[in-house]
Order: sequence, then structure tokens, then C-alpha cells
Amino acid sequence: MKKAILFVSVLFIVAGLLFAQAAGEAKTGAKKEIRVLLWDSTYNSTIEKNGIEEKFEAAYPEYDVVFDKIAYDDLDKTILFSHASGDDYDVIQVITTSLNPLYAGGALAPMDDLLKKANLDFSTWSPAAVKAGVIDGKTVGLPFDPDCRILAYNVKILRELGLEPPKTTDDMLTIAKAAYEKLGVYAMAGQISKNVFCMYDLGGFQLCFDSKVYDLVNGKYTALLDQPEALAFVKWAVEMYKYMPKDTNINDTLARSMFAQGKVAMLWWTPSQIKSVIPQFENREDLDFSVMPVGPTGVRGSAMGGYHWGIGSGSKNKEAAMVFLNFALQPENQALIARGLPADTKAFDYPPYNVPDYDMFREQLKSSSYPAPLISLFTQVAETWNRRFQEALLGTITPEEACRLGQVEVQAILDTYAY
Amino acid sequence: MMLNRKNKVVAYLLVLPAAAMLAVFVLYPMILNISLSFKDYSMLRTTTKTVGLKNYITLLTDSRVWQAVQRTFVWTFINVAGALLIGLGAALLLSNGFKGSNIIKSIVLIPWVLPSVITGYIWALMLQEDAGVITYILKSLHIVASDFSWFRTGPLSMASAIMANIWRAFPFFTLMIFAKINTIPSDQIEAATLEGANSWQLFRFVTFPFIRPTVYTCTYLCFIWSFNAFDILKVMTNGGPAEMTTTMSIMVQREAFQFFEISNASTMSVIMFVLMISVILLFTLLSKLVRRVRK
Repeated sequence: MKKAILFVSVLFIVAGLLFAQAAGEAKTGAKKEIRVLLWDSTYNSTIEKNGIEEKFEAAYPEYDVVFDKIAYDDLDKTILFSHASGDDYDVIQVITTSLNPLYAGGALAPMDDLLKKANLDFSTWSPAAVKAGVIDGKTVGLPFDPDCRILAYNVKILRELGLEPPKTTDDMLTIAKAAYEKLGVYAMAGQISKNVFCMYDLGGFQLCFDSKVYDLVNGKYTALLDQPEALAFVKWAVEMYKYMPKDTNINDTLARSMFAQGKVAMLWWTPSQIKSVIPQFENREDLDFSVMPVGPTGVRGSAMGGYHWGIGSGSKNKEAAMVFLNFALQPENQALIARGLPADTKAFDYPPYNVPDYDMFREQLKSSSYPAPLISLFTQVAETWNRRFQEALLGTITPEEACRLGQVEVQAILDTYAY
Repeated sequence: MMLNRKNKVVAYLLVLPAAAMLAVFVLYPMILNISLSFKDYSMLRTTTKTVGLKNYITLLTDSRVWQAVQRTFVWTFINVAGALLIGLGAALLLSNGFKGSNIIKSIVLIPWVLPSVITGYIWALMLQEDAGVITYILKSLHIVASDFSWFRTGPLSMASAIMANIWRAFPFFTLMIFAKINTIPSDQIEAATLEGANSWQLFRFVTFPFIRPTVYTCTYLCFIWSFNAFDILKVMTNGGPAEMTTTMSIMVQREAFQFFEISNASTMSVIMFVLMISVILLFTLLSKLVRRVRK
């Protein structure tokens, strides 16, 4: 018995040594690894589904691309922590609004020198998205998945009300009131409790009022909530909220589902909803889109968001990272990877974007802009203003008070910005 | 019994792994956290400097922090009181050994074994305005208005989260108190019964004095858990609407992982720690005082 145990033990040790040696040899002649950190939803819905890994490795056999998937809420955290621990990723999917904070935190590398070797022509790309990736004159992010908002509406509800699709923000209020009072249908729905609600969702309509929460004025970031346009927007939002669900923690998935079920008349519509929400409609003909409505001063605003690719500042493989980005950003691949919209208009000629559902977005993307300058304090400003914005919606303070308090609080945060 | 030198070495060696673990995973983070509270460390800046008490002064003069402190105490005390009362009631009920109590004993544990995030999601769904089963029933019975929502105002949102947390926490009290009740010597109960004690007197003079230490321990633990609770509030209200359910834990998480202002978060957590310890010390002193007065 003892001999048998001894024999098996020796066998395991020898096998282990042989395996370790083989692994070592394999590593010596191994492919160069490119570590990519990305949102799990991007990986699941496009990268994996469209076989990007296989396509890249077939085109570049000397590289082995490894994808690390992470939940949306943990993306920034993971980027910063991996940087702080010296374990930077080579390629990183960055939420566009986080580009500045991550660059300020030293997590992103400038890629201008690397770009010289790449085969990318930005002349056909969304200028606003490209510009968002440039900080202090250095390119730190390349857009691959920008998005913008258009307005979706339920045709059946509008027909029942005898109303035309909205062209102005006032039209929207008319529809909202009629839908709620005559049919018991909500005007719009969304997650008020998330901090970007005041910037992107209902807050995204602020751009239609030719207003922003803050902007760069004479070289200084300045709160603009004391402007009459901002007050006009808040008053409009308060009126609109009267006809929206009162559940402040309703999540976006549920809100979209309610829209698909005909319980909501209108909805700010992002490109990713085409794949996720349209199939929920019992009758596709009930759904139609328009570009965003114009506000009182005739401005048609649409808030942009989305994602950029970045390269980790501590990446030991920056050239390889650029090889992957060069591949991923070619129009045909950009079309396969983007969840929202591709940044390059040429990518709209490739599937899945070469269908009419995306025409409106293609049109809207040209005039879209970010809701406020994407500086490192963006999230903090959003969180702070969202409190006053919510208080105004809930009626605990007046729109005037919300703007007055918001102006002071937002400016106090902007004053801490290190220029 | 005196330990000889060899035995002492062995004893220290046996304690060493646990002590090392505590030092690495508890003591070091605590010291680091305190030291960070005196700096201006942000993950969004590449430089850090020591700022002394500036963080404490800034935070302690911020009305938002004081509002969060106030909400934390409201949240904690209602949760502890609710869980204690329901838990005690359930334990007394189960100790009667009525028919089917064995099954109920098992069922009552379910909320306790569920992860708090799941509890939060379940309750948020049940209370949701459009499709929540509880809201639907209340609306169908015309108990609430047709546009009623649990998450419409701060107090209602807080009440919803408290309901969910009490539902999750009370089985802990039930289990612990029930176990203690089962160890009450039967002769004490028999003697009290023979003396003519009614149910209330039996509880007041026999049961409660016996289970008091367990109640105290459970209350302390529940106080600490509730004070630090984060997940249920995060899932159910995300601190809203308009920050009206933002407690200290939510604020610390926001500063650390949304704004990446690590020093601010550290300062807040030190303040939280001091507040929590102060309340526990106060409670301990008061209970000692009460015992002394009674004697």
C-alpha cells in the first residue's frame, strides 16, 4: 500500500514538473497578450456575439486579446484601482463623462504618438465625440460608441388623443397633459434617483432651452443656473413631472418596458433601446420617432453620451493596445462593436446600422452635444444639482429656489477645479 | 494556574495567526483610514498633501452631513426598535409551541438568510408604483390613491426601506430570544404560576429578566448593523428622492466610489465610528446606572 502511495506521489510530482516546463516553454514562445477591460454589456451584446476576439486574432495571430468584463457601476472604480495597484489594463472602455476624471487621476495615457502609426481618418467621425477625447490638447480617448437622444412616441396614444407628433417642448406638455388626464397614460418615465437624470434624461431637454448647468465662460467653468433659460427649463420640467410616475426609483428597464406596454406616451430614446425595447412592442407600428423638439428659443438640443476607448497609463503593451484599437475602430468593426452608435459615420453603411431605425440618430448625432463640459467634477456637479432638481420636481422647493440654490452649490464645486 | 515558559510560548504561537490576521485586515486599514482623513487624497489627483483637521472642519460645518447624521439615527433607532419588538413577539409566540410552530420556525429564518441586496430588490419590486403587488392590492382596495407611490417622498421612501430592513432583521432576534427562552428553568415558571402570576407578570418577572442579556446583545449587534447598513437603502432608494434617505453609509460610498474623494470618505467614516461608539458607550453607561439605581 505504502509503495502504491509512493508511486502515485512520484508520478504526480513528475507530471507536475513536466507540465510546468511545458507551460514555461509555451509562455516563452507565447503570443503577446492584450488585456482589455470593458463593460460586461458591451462584451455580451457585441464583442462576443460578433466574434471580435476571433476576428482580431485571425488578422493578428501574434496577439492574444483577453477581455475582462465588469459591471457598469464598477467600471471607473476598477480602472482607478487597477491603476493604483500598478496593474493597468492595456485597453480600457471609458464612459465618456469619466474621461476627464480618469485622466486627472493619471489612469489614462495620451495616445498621440501611437496614433501616428494607426490607420484612422477622423474626418468622417462625430466631431463632438472626437473632441471629448482630447484633454489639454492630448488625445486620451477614441470614441467608438457615442450616443444621443431622439424622441420616441406612441403613435396609437397620439392618434387616440387626436394630436400630432411633438415638434416643440410646448407640444410635449400638451401631449403630456392630455395623455395623463384623458387616457390615464404617463407622459414620460425614467429613473429620477440616478445622478445623471438632471443631465441626460429629463435634464437632457435643458439643451432645447439653450441652457446648460455649467459651461466654460471666459476661460472659467461657471454655473449657469441663474440664467432665465435655466429657470424656464426647470419650470417646464416641473410641469412635465406632474404627468410622470411618482416612483422616484423606477429603473430605466422598467420605464422602457412601460413605454412598450403603452403605459407611457413619450420617451427620450437612445440607440441601445432599438435592440432592447423594440422587440417588446406588441405592434411595431405603435412606435415612431422624431428628432428632439425645439425649445422656446428655437434650439434643438440632444444630449450626447457614450463610450471611448482609452489606453492604461501603466500599460506595458501600449503599441499592441493601439494595434487592437486600430482594428476595433475600422468602420466595419466599429459597427459590430458599438452598442449605441458608431462614432464614424462611415460605419452606418455596415450592419446593423444600415437600417432605417438608425436614420434619425444619424441625423440627430450631427447636432448633438454633451450636456455640460466633461470635466473631472461632472459627476459631483450632477449629484449636487440633481438634489435641487428633484426637490423642484417633487414640489418641496420652487423652481426659482432650485435654480438659486443650485447656482450657489454648483459654483462652489466648480471653484475647486484645478485649471 | 501558572503557565510555564514553554507553555507561554506555545500559547503566544497559537494566538499569533489570529493576531496577525487582525493586524493586517482590521488594525492596518483602521490606522490607514484615520491617517487618510488628515490628507487630501483623491483618486482624481496625482498629488496628495497633509491638510490637518481641514476635512473634519469642512464636513462638520456642512449641513448635508448633519442631515445625513440625523437620518442615520432615525433609520437606526426605528430599525432596532422594530426588529426587537417583532422579534421578541415572534419568539414568545413560537415558544408557546402551537400547532405548526415547527414549520414557522424554519420559515421565519428565510428573511435572515437572504442577502440584503436581494431583500432590497424584492421589496422594491413589491412596492413599485406600476407593477408592485403590495401597491396594486392597496390601490385595488382603495386604501391609497390611484397615483400613490411609496417612493414619492422622503419619509415614505425611508419607511419603505425600514420595512424591508425590519423584515430582514427581526428573525435574528426571534432566533436568539427563542433559544434563550427554551433554557428558562421550568421550576421558575412553575413556581411563578403556583404563586398565581398571570401571563404578563410571568413575562415581566420571570421571562424578561432571564432573556435580558440576550436582548441587550442582539440590540447592540442590530444597532451596529443598522447604523452601517448600506445595501438595502442603495438598492431601494439610492439615497433619494432629493437625498432624503441619504444616510452616512450612502454618503461615504458616494464620496469614495462616485467622486473618488477618498480622504473625505475616510473622514466621514471616522465620524461615523466615533458616533457609533459614543452611542454604545452611552447606552452601556445608562443601563449600568439603571441597574445600580434598582439595586
